[in-house]
Amino acid sequence: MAASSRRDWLRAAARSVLQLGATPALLTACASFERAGRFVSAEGLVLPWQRVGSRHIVVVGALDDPAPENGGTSGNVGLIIGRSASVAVNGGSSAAHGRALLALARELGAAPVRAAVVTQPLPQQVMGLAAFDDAGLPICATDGTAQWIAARCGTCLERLRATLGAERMAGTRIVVPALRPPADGVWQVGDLLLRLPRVGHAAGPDDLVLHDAADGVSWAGALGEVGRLPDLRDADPLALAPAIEALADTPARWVLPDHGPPGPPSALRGAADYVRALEREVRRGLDDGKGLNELLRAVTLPAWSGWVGHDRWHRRNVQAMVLRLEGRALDEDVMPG
Amino acid sequence: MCPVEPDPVAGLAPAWPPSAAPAASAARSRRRVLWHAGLIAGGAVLAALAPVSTLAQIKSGDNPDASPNWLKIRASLFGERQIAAAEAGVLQLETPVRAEDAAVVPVGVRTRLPVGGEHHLQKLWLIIDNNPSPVAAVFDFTPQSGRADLETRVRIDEYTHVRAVAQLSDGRLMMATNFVKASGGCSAPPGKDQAAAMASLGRMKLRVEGDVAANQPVQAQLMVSHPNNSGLAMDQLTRQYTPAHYVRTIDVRYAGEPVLKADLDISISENPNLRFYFVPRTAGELTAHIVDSKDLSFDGGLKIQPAAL
Repeated sequence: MAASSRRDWLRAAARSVLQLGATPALLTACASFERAGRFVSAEGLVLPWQRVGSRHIVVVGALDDPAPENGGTSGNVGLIIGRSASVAVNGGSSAAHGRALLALARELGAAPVRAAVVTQPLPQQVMGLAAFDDAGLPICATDGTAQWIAARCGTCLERLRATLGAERMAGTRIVVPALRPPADGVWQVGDLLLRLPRVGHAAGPDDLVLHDAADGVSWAGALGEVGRLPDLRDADPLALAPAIEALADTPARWVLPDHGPPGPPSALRGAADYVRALEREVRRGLDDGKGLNELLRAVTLPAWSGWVGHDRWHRRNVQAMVLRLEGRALDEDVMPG
Repeated sequence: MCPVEPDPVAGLAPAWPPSAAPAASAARSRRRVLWHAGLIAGGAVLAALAPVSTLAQIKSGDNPDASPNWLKIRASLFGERQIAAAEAGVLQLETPVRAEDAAVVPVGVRTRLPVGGEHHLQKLWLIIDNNPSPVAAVFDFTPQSGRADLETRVRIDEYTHVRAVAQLSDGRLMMATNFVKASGGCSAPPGKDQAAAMASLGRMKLRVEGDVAANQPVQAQLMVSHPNNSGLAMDQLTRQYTPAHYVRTIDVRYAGEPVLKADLDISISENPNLRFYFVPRTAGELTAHIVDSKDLSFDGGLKIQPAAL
């Protein structure tokens, strides 16, 4: 899908969902959860959580990658709690993380978790899926995400085991989601009426976002990075900024990013601005005849130097952008700049 | 133990990579050297019998002259010939200390060595000690090259010394060495799915940088759409290794005259990319003739009209 039509389509989908069935009854029927809390799982994982809207619980994880210092709980996972059913959003970075999220749902007295949804095949979204699979819960993801998990996440698991240790990763295995988003994008789980528009290849190979019209809350997955540089390793660098901008334009009251605090949709723009600036600088360098080595040195984007990951994956992002522009030049018979 | 190199002349396919066809071109003897060095060193790596002190040396990058794989490659390619350490600026290798992506590691060679006249640079080997097939590329320069600077991108399988060895027309050898931290590049999954890669197989783009003046070296870039499968990457879905299929030679000419010839191997990254120089003396076409390991050939060209000085 072309970037402009993808953007228009995403906007339209978001608008339609936010007009979809936002009944006062639903809004007032929400559970009376506390605004925030701190849950310690039986396995010792600390989950600081907060309520967003009336029925979304987000467990705000570390901005950095999974590491022993953060107990492996990188990134945000959460729950959408209806009257008759709850849904988990992303699985966490280990089976223990996934189990902790399910335990948090019980602790909060939430309606039973009936399904989990995975927005991208990233470690913090995928590695905890064994907990949901063990509980017999269906896991929903796009075709592209499921295929990617099957093909590539095994290596990722090995690396994560080496990083976090066998004890922290006990019971963690690769689970390939079997459930696909409905073709019309409307997903009903118990009384929860959610919209799962498929974005395509942007942040990951086949992105999914989740809108809850009734509550005015959207889950951005890896299209939402706040205070942390987007990692373009598996992204389509040319599709990412338009996709983020489309999400930033949604009329939701809250957007829950993959990393960073919940906020208004406009909070996503910083990451889009970074990708735009990266594309602009790399194009300029290519036009000037710079090679990859030179571009890696020249494109520094210091305005984002305070963001987590700038010191570690910004250069990799430069390389990803160069390769994407060159790939486009070959595919479309245009110049790479 | 290292496998014995099969003799391509006798029509025997090499044991590895599985899809490599016997070379039938003039590059056969060069290819044999590549295979020989590759298999020797590859065997050495796979043997996993290196003593602890050797492994420590590999990880740290200390003492490049003592690298066990290098000693084998050196004996295979250069025998007892003396190899001088290149003076700074005369021959320089440009690599990242730590690669951003082990499957696409940019490597640049900068030289002040002439490509014509007395004592000119004839041939340049790009060697990655600890790759399964360490001789990544062999480049032949001609006076039409203008300058012997070039850039390409390689896969790196584990922490390794990377070397550029230059042979001058008088037979002297000189070498620049860098240590690069990267791992898993040769077995990394491709960036593009195979169906898409095969649909655009051999598509290429040639471009020149800046203004083109007659009789002055001009930088050019060649991009080729090719999966350059190493034969070492496993498809996790099928649990099968994708057979090796890679660009074997690139022959660049200008107005029919040879500019640069490259013998390549599985260490070259997906979508091979080469930046090099040439000297346009008259109007003409810069052409690239590419042959891959399945003996498929691809041609591309770019018409050039240099401005008179």
